[in-house]
Amino acid sequence: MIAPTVATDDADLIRLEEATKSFGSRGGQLFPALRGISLRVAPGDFLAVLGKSGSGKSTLLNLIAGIDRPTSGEVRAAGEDLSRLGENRMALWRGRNVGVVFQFFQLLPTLTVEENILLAMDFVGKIPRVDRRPRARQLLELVGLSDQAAKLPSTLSGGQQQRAAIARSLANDPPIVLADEPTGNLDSETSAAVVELFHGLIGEGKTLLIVTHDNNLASRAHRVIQLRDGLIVADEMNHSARG
Amino acid sequence: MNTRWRKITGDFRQHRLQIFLIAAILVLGSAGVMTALNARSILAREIEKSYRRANGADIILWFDKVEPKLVDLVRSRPGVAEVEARSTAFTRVAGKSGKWFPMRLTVLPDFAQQKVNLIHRDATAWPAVNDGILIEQSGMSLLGIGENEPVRVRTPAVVVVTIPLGGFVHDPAVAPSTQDRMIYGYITPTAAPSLGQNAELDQLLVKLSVRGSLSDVAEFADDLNGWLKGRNLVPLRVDALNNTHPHAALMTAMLRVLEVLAGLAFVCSATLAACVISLWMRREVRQVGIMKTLGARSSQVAGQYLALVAPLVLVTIALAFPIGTALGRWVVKYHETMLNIDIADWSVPRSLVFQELIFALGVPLLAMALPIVRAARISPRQAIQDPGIVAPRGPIAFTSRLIKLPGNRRWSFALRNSFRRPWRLALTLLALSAGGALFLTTHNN
Repeated sequence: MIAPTVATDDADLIRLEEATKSFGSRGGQLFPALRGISLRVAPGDFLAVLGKSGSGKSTLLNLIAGIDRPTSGEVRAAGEDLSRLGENRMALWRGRNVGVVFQFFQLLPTLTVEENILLAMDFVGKIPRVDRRPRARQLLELVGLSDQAAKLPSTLSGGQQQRAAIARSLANDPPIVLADEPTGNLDSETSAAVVELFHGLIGEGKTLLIVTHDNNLASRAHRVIQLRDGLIVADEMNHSARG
Repeated sequence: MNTRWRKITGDFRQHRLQIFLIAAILVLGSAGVMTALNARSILAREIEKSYRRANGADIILWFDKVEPKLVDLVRSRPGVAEVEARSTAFTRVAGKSGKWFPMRLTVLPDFAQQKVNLIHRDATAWPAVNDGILIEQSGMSLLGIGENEPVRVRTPAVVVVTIPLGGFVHDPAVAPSTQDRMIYGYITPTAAPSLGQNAELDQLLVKLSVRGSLSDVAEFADDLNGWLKGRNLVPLRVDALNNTHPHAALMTAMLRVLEVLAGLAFVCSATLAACVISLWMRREVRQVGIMKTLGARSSQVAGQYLALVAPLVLVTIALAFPIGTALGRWVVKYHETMLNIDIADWSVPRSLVFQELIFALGVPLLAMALPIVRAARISPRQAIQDPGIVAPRGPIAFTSRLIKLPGNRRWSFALRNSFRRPWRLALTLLALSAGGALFLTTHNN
């Protein structure tokens, strides 16, 4: 696996300072999803974010991924102040530095599994053209889908699709991998395999931030934070997992 | 093949029905507008050219009798290009079925030596003996009589006489007999007495060297009238002529209407295609979000979808162009008979072809690019969290609640959905109305 290449200007790979995010409702009222969150994540950390529905977990993930922007406060990740980036530069930054795994896999249905990975590389252009296909095969081998490379996502099981989505999230060798309830749509056996896969990424030097309801997945995290009503109510180190 | 092109071809396969629908809409719209523009271009030019071939008279002077020296005298007048004496009578002619038709009979000195209001025969010589009657070709189907067969004509003395049909001629200056229900016959003074007509000619057809406007012609006619009166040659009547095809104004108006309706139908077809693309992009929004999450910029996403529709527009033009050309020719052919004109040149000006291509390429591309660019510019969060069809707001929400059909609820649901996007509904109705109007216009003409 190729090591992360992004240099950071300090020890934190991800840093949120008093980040708030509010959404407008139809009645014109603002609904606060995050209320002044401050968070620091070091490179190589494995963070699990827990909380009930509506607590702000996905919003936090979206801010770190540059999918959304904070209403106020600062979000820095992989050496960039995300509030300063325009939409296109943000997309390029995201492609280079963040791999996102969704609950419902979100593989592009008209492309094969291998092509889904190649497309991510094509958009960003970080990986040299000649290296893209070998890298896609290497990633599929990592997630145990070498034999499924030429298949369309619809022909795969849920677990296989999620493993393909993880492989795709690593396409551009990002230092940060974010996952939004990656096991939420999988049975327990398949979930266990996916948890193993994520855990293996730590060994590859990735920084993981996973929103989950899955206790098994959370128990493997180095650090667990609890969100409630847009606030971090608990931030605990899981020394057994780190050990 | 590049992965992005694989995605484009994959999307093409997945959405082939919608793409076929878009292509069909665009082919019909583009072919329709090309048909109208080509037909108008050819007809506008050829009506004029065909009428000019007739060397139509600018002035007619009516006398009791026109002597050859009067012809020479008027021809000597400065500004006069050609002069020819003729006479006209109205009578009746019988078709093969026995049905009688009104006939305008023109007596002209010599078929082979015509000067003004020329009639011609296509690829056949004039009859050697001028003792028969020639009939304008558009009357052929009404009479049902062939060349050299006898024709029955009523004389002024209400006697039916028989005269051989010398053949058919083309008089591009008259409206077709099938429209006016009038037969146009042509004889020489030699044959005139056999039909009970006077062999003496009483009209003087004058062609001017430089025509100018109708008021210029009227002024020249007044001068000529005064000049002749000064020589004790008083015309009974002097007419300054428009010198245009009798149906030219009607034709121009009809072609303009056809053009406007075709243009409207084309714009509506492009809008319908854009609506289909818009619906498609609504469904693609989540994929747009995924691609943006993977690092795709708006330009890359837009380029990907435009790369799918741009070749589609090119293909539709490739299909619409020959269809439009063929239909345009069919319309011209139809009007050639309807207007009784000669089409000498079927070509369409290159500048018009160029304009049509730009128009047919630009308008649909622009119309389809708008929803694509709009979808490509959506933020990744909005795209990923897109709720799909949203409930209408404001007055539409209010009127939607009023729409309630008895019976099965799905009818109310379907109707409310139709009114969910009133602009889309209006454009669809407008497109269908324009199409219907275009059909009725062409059908009624």
